[in-house]
Amino acid sequence: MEVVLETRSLRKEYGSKGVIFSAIDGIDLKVYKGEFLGIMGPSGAGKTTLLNILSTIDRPTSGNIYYEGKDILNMKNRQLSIFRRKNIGFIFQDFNLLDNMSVEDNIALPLALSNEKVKEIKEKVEKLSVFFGLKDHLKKYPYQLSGGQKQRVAAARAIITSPSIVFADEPTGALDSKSAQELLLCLMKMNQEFNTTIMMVTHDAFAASYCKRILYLKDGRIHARLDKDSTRKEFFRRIIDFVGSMGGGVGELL
Amino acid sequence: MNSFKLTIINFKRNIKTYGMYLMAMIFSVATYYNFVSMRYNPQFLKTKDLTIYVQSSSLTASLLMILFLVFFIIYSSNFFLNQRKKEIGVYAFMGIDNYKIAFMFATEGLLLGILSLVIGLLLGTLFSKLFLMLLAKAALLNMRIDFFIPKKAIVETVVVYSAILFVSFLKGYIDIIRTNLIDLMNTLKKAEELPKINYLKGFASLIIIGLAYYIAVNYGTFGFGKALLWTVILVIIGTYWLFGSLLSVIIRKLIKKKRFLYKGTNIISFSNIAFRIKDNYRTFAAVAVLITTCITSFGTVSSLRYFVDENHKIEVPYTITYISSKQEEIERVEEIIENSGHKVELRQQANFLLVPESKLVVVKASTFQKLLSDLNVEDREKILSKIDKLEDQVVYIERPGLLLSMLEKKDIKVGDKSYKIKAQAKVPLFGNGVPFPCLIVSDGEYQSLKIKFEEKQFNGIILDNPEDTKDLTFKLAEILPVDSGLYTYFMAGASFYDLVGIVYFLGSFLFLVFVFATGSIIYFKILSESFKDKGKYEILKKLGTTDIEINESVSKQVGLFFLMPLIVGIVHSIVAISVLSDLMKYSLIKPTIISICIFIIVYGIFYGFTRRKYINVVIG
Repeated sequence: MEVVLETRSLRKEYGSKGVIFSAIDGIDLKVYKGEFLGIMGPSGAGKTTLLNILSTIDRPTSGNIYYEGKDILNMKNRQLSIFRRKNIGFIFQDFNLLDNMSVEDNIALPLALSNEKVKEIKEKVEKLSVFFGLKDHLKKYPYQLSGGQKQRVAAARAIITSPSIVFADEPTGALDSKSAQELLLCLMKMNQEFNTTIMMVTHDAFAASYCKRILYLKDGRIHARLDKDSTRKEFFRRIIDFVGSMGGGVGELL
Repeated sequence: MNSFKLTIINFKRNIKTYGMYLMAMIFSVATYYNFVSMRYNPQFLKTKDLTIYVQSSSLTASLLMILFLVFFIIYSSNFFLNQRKKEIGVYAFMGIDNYKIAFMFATEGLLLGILSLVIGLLLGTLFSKLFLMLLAKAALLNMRIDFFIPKKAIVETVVVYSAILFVSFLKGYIDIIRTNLIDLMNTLKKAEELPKINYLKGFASLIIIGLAYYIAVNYGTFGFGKALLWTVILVIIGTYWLFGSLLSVIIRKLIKKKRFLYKGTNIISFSNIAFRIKDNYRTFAAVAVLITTCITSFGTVSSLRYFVDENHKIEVPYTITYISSKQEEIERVEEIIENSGHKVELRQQANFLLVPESKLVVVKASTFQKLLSDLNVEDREKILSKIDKLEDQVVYIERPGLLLSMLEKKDIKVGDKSYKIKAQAKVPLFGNGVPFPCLIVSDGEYQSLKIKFEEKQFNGIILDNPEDTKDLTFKLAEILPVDSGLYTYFMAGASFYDLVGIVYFLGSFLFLVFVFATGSIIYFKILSESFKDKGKYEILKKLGTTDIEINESVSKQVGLFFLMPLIVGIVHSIVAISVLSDLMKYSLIKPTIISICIFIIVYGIFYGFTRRKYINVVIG
């Protein structure tokens, strides 16, 4: 299987002389094409730090990151920004849509910035809006949408550039349970139909159960790995059991 | 820690944010002080004939400054309050009562005011000599300016500023007392909504402005006073609607045009502008009106100066003129000039007819042609082409010294005969020595008029050094009879030119102050936007927008905010100045272009500042 993203002994340290805190403490990781990977772990385990570093928003203290074999840490800031725009999609907990753009413009934004052909942009926006059930809302503005709709707009924006990977940071965190489930189904469909590689950070065992594989982070290290081999419900139970055995309160995860 | 200490800490911490505000305040205090001190300067007061001019222009200028200041302080303190509502909210949350918080924040404003007052006074005193020297130079006054600190001016400045500061202190205090905790916490979070658009108002704005222009250009039919009033009212309404509605219509059209929108950073800049019009159109309109006022008034004073320079050529084309045909008088004049050591550059003699009952003189076409070419008048071909084949028509040359001609004459009576006026013009001819309008008639017609009216001989002499003709004037006055109408460069004097010099100088200074004011208003407005936009640019950065693209998009957005009122203001002022030029019968293209260029340069500097600060806020 093709490797999309690979890290070697990734480290991120905070603090200065004497008091050093390692948020990421040597992570080796491979993400394959078409994967739906979940990252779990208690608060302070380094989930968000890892995501920020992998998504090139932050830089590691040491270690390497390879995207399709290419070392991205040698890139300059500007190159990195463009790389990010073309190869990485984002879904954030708080949507991060631009309030002053209509839904269609929000989705089109990454392509418009890259000066793609207008006709192609329009076609892609059209196609994705059908896929995410946003067709009737294209002319609306984010303040006119529900949370679930907003997050679907964000998902559409994330994959319009056909990125090699989509990072989702607690995408269901701000949604009610029904909207959350809808979104997770969307992500799953995205993963199946477009073969989009997704890496999702989550607290929530229910959300995690939609993934194909889960890495459990603790104290900046990969502590365990769970693979889905049966139904989602079965997988959900295993996750709950595992998290329980880790000593974390179950309540925190539900 | 008591609240006063907290105030001092806050004040120190925020001094950077206040930088621009402090600069504007200090500048205005220094300017105000200078305007006032002009009134108390002993050297200026000594020159009796100037006192009234100096006092009245100083008063006007300082009043305008106060107006600007009140406006500016209210505007900027609102800005600061909005900026720090969250901070106020936190204090309120911690259980400090509103009165104490209000006192703290209002005191901070007061400290700022006092600081700028002190620095402004110091700078003002330092520069007052320079200011007065420039003024004296502009007014062509020959006087020495000593360094002098008028106590009265300082007292006046302190009193006026303290009053303004006290009022703004009270206003700030009351504003904070009246706010609610919940509003304070949520101010920056308030969701913006896309403004509704009103096509009717949008297109009406164009019609209203068009109508205003029509009235302005046709001031003759409406009467000048009425036309001015209506033009001002209509232009202001039209400009507000233009920015309030038409601009929304246009921007919305642009946003729907994906071919335009999906071109790089356009999508960021224009989407933002579309949302911001609702909050900003009043500022745009006010700035456009301010720009119009600025350029028009500066255009007017520089036109006036230009006009006076031009007029000087018309009023004093020769160094010495007198009317006499007696050979012995002419010889004595020549003798005196020769003894004075001056060199004669041009000696001119010409005959004309005096028509006392119509208060005008008549000159024949061939003489007129010779006079103009000897004086080497610029663009004389235009008027000379009109005197060919005059037959029964005449060309009307305005009386020298006429400032504005409001009437268009059709025909004119000389004795019992009426002539059609073929053309009207202002050109140098005899100067103030013959203070009448002049009719140019064909040589044949002149012969027939010569029988009815007395012919006189005009003598004009140009000397190499016209400035130094005081003694010469007195000597000539002794030998020439009163009715010779002796007029010299010295007699033309400087009284009127002094006034114009002062007006010009103060006008340009006020122009600078107003450019500064306009710039600061737009600066604060855009800066308050930048805080709202911070989140947006953070998202954009995460999505992979490069710093260069952010730069580009900010430049575009801020640039458009500056550009739109500028364009409207320039168009308004061009119309205004063209009406003025029509009134003065002069082409004012040169002074207009100069004043627009100066404005654009200063305004451009403000754009640079604002853009940089904006980028600092959204990226840094």
